[in-house]
This record gives sequence, C-alpha cells and structure tokens, in this order.
Amino acid sequence: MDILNGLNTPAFELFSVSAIFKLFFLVIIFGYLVYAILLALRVRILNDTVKASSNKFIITLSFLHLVLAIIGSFIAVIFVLIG
Amino acid sequence: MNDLLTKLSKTNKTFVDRLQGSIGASNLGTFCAFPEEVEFNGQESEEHIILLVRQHLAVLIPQYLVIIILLLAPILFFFIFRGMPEIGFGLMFGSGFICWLVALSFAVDTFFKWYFTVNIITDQRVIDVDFDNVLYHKFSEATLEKIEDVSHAPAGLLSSIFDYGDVFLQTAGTEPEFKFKGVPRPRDVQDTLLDLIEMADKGQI
Repeated sequence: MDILNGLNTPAFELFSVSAIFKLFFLVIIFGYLVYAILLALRVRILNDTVKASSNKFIITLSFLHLVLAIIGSFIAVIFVLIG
Repeated sequence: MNDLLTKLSKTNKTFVDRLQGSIGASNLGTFCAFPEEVEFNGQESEEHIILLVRQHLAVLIPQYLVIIILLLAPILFFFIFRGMPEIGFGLMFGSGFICWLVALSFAVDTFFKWYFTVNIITDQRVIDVDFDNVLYHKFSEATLEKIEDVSHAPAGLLSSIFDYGDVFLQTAGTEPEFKFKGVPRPRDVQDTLLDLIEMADKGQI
C-alpha cells in the first residue's frame, strides 16, 4: 500500500533550487568551452598576421589553455552533476 | 637593421635619440624600437620595422581587478550556498571551480588581446592591429605619405602616473583615423611618426 501512496510523487524535482543551479552552471560551462575554442582559432589567425619569435610561446599557451579548458570543464560537469 | 639605424642616425632626427634606450627590447614588451625577428603580413622585403608598441600594462588594471574578483568569487558562493540545504558539496565546489576556470581564461584572453593589439611603425607605413574580441579583429595600414596629422592625448589620472596615452593619426581622404590606444611614451611615438613623415616627404627613406 505504501508503494501505491507514492504513485503520484515525482522521483525527482525538476524545478528545485539545486536543479536550477545545475542547469545554470552547465550553460556557463558550455559557453566557456565554446569561448575557449574560438579564442584558440582566433589566435591561430592572428599568429599569421604578426609573426614574432615569441609566437611559439603564444601558440603553446593557447593550446595549453584549450586543453585545460576541456579537462577543467569535464571535472566541473562531474562536480555539478553530483550536486 | 644596423644599416638603417646608421642611415637614420645621420639625418639628425630627434626620434633616433629618443628610441636609443628601447633598441633591443624584447618583442614581448610594450615599447620596442627596431625589433628583431618580427614580421607582419604583407611586409615588403626592404621594409624595416622602426617601432612596435602595445598598450601600457597599466591600461589593463580593470581586467586585473576582474580576475581578482573571479578568484575570490568561490568564497561568495560558499556563503550563499551554506544557507541552502538542497545544495551539496559537489555543486558548491563545482561553482567555485568554474569561477577559477573563468578567471584563468579571462587572464589568458586579456594577455592575448594585449599581445595581438599591436601598433607597428615601419619606414614605409603604419600598421594598427586591434584584437577586440574572439569574433573580431581589425588590421589597418596607411602609408606614411597618407598621414596628414599626428596628435597625442594622455587622458586620466593613471595615464599621468604611468606616462601613457592615445596617439591619433589623421589620414588623407575619407580613410578613417588611426588610434594607438593607451601606448607608453606617446610623445616619442608622435615625434617618431612626424620625423618619418617628413623624411618620407623629402624622399630620404
């Protein structure tokens, strides 16, 4: 009978405070990833516009930043989802 | 490059003396005279870069403040989420982690914008590269003959303290005005440009 009593109770609350924050942070992470990719692409273009000996450092930094953004976003998504 | 420097030194122009102290400075700096190992798209084989300037680092003070705020934001999240029993440790830590990621990206983005927003003066023309955001950048150039007027304007308290300002170049015809934003030693930049324009008019370069 206890099971029947709980039939109309949702298994999780879709619009709880926690769910809203999770959705908000997931959108931020997605935007952040897109931004990191666009930045890497723009740096690649600008690297051809002005060439200097220090550009190797810039390319390395751009690549490292992209890798860090991807790994960091993955970790952040895990933490956000486990709530 | 040494030949050009010797040639320019013989002209008795004041800008050569003004730039002496900045010769050999790293091309990662804000004011670099006669930089080595720097080229730009469309540079002619006999064209030499005389001055490379970027924004003064003090111009970026608002960006430094944003980075500090983003680094401290997790503390704020901790105090906000502490009063919400629905929010677990994962979400609390995740939000702080996102703030640090955004702070790191903002710092890298600021550095890239500073590095690629560059103004180059050669013995033939002026190049202005503006990297405003990830979706837009502008590459403008004007030959020395087309520049009609050069002026500079240090504006604000910080520019007086750190000696930086904007340099404006008015070009002939309907072409837009060039603006070197927040560059160090604007008087030296102006003097260099005016001397080079005069030399170009006389056919000395």
